[in-house]
Amino acid sequence: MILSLVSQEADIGSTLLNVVYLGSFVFFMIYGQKFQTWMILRDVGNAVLKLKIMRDKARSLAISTAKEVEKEDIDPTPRIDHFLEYFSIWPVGLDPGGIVPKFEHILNVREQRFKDEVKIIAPNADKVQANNLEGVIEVAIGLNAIYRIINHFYLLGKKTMSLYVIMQIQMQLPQIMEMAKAYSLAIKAFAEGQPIGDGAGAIVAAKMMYGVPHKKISKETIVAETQLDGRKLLILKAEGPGSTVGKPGDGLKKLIEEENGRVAMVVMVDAAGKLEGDTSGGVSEGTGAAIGGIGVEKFIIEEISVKYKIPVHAVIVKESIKESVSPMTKEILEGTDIALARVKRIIREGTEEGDTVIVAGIGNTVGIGQ
Amino acid sequence: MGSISRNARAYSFYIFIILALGMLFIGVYYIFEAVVILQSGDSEGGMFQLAMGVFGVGASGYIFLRFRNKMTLLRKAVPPTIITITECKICGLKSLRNFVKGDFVFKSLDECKKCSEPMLITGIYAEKAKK
Repeated sequence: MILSLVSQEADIGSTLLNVVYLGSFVFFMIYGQKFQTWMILRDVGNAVLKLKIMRDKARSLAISTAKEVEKEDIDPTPRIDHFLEYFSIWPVGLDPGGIVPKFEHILNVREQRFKDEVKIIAPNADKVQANNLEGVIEVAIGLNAIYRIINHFYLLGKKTMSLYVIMQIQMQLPQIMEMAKAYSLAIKAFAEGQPIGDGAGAIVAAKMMYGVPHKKISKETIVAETQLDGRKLLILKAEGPGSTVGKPGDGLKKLIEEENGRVAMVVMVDAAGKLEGDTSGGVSEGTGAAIGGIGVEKFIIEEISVKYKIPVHAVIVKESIKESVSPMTKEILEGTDIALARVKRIIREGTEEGDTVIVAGIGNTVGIGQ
Repeated sequence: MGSISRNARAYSFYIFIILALGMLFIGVYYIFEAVVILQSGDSEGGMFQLAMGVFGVGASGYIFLRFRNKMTLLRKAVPPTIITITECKICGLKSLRNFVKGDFVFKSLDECKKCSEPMLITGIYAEKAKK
């Protein structure tokens, strides 16, 4: 019957072809979405497998780093496994007034909890080793979180066979995988104490303060006093070479208050996300507090600079998100020299002899001393 | 993650290869048929066969290309080499060497070979592995 409908005259070969051709239309009309869901599930499934491998490697590296740091025979495995699912509950945003101190409090508690945990895992580690181990565990927690979220959507998609559930994650998958790969590279950098792209600002500050005595100004943050063409420079950075970003906001606030607000300019140097097409290691300058994170440090800097009407200038070294957590590339390292020259030029052009200027090198100082 | 085991991946690899080879074989067969039909003077039938053949060869080429791209992605990425720059601040002697655990920027090292002053690490960077 169907054959006769398709073609009465045609031979059996072409009739079959026509049936297959028409059949494919019917098939894709009924099962098209299921087929698409199946294809996407396959892609996401492969990504989940890759993420699981990355997560497992990160966990192994965290364990081996802890064992290497801790000479005594303490098995860190159960403690690290237990800590891999550590989470933070951010404050309620229903009433935004006063939310920043709440964020700050939670971040401080979280940070202290990490330090305490590292102390238990490796009680004999020195400060640099402990900070680097903290960085390793933090990246391992990040990779574990990525794996669990993607796996959740994968399994949910499989369970419901809903195209819309699985598409949510598939659309973001390229960026997520890129980030996960960057984390995989970062964990090795933290374990070995190599500088990462995010440390561009810290390197600039380190170059300015090298050879000058420094003192602690806030938690894991140091300051050094130097001179540039008759200007007093106060250089601030996180205390290296262990992995830390310090508390530049608190440090800057304290410095400005110590100077009774008589600061002619604040120059902040940081690594910043480049746009596709921008050159890695390129340097740009602008106005405002160049600092990332949740926004607590930025808030403190903005508050104090507004209070004393201090201009805040920003110099950024451009890099991708992947580069910011990967070992520092040659282009970014070269960019720090350009950034240093820019900072000096901004100070010379924007201030006069006898003025006080604060230069804050922002970023993770892993592998960067002073 | 039992559902996406290594066995399943191995099966999909063989299915890809068989599918591509099958398409290639059918495509070549149709082109051969098309040549015979065209020579016999049936241009309409010949052109249809030729189109089918070209489609088959094209489809198999596409499958192979996709497969090759996937293989390139799966190839193990070579980690970058980490280079340490050491410099003598007195005589300017500069040298590069592989990163050693414990190196950090502005770490003082052994004496300079030229002027006996301590060398300094002035930079550490990652160099992409050459293909």
